[in-house]
Amino acid sequence: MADPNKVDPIHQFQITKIVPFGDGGFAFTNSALFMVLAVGLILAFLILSTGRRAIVPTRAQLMSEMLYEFVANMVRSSAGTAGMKFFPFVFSLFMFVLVANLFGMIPFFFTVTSHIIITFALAALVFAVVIIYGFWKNGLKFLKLFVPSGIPMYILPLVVLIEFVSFLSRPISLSVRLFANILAGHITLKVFAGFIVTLGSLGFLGWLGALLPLTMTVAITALELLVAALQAYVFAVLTSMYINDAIHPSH
Amino acid sequence: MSRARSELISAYISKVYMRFRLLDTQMSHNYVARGFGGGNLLCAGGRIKRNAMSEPNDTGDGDESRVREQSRLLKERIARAQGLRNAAEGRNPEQTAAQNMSGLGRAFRLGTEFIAAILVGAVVGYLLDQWLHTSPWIMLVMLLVGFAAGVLNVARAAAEMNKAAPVPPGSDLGPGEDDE
Repeated sequence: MADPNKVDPIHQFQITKIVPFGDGGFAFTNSALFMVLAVGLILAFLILSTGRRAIVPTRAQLMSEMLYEFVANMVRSSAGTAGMKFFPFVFSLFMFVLVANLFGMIPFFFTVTSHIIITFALAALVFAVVIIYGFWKNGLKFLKLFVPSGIPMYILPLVVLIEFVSFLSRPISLSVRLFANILAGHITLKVFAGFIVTLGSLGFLGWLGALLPLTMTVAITALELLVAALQAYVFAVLTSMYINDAIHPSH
Repeated sequence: MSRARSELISAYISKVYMRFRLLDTQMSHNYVARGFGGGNLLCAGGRIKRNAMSEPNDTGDGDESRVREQSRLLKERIARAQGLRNAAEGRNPEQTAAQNMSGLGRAFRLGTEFIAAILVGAVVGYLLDQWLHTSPWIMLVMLLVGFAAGVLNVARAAAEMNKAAPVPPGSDLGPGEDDE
């Protein structure tokens, strides 16, 4: 960094083209690269670790079994046995978000989930599944989701409107939560790390003072690791709750 | 999370037991050496031994009853495991899930649920206004509806979390049946 007073915390989110496809603006970007890397890592890990199918598992096999059990219990407790047919879906989402978040914690890696379009696409996928399966399974009874039982007729239109807006807000909150957490965390991390460089340019006393932001950076790194795992978990839990709504539409 | 973990550990332990068939204290005859009919092996050893002995008219020998006993025990175990799983499913769906979120996760959930509903209300109203040329009336109304939906979202999420959270010991839950 040439000028230590110029720290650009947004720079890490820039999308660069790696392999452009023609002149239409399409390209294989760094975002796409890290999505491919995340999927590749998940696939490689799961296939290699479960390849031997030993009764007494190795550490890697135990890890993927624990991941399986963790997500399976989550789906089962949120959506019941009927929800288990969506287990592959929830497991894929969980693993993708988790690995993408954790990739973001490695220096110089691009954080896929820090772009709202990615998280919104995931949330929209969840809701496409919920709506299509809900109508396919329950027919028009799926619309009961918007009509709570025991509401007097004269207030029903208002309640249905509110419920409808509440339903529409779910994919927004699902995607914004993940995106905002990751974005805010990475910017904070960068800003505090920038303080170290800025203070360091002041000489010895500056380096001494830089110990404070350094401590903060270490602490925030730990916090971000927690957030990365937690947000993947929250995303998967809410996905299975919404799937539960599609299976049992009445409140 | 700790529940899943302990389940995993017990699953692992039972796996080890199944492999070595040694330490399962539920069945006392497991302590007999394997070649002499100990262990859970339903297959080779016992059958061969029985054929070799070939006692005529001895249909009710120890082997057969042992196999029966073992399949009964196995059935019991399966039933017990299924009962545990059913009990887990019988609980309120959101209960265990919301329990596992940390405070940070819960706080973020409440915040985004609220804001997202307001945003959706405003955007829907704005689009309807553009379409019907009634700016800004529908947007104003939908902003309020969005606010209501946000409150509903937060109330719902908080109710889930309250249901999931265990009651702190010694807390006063209001007048109950055992009160004077």
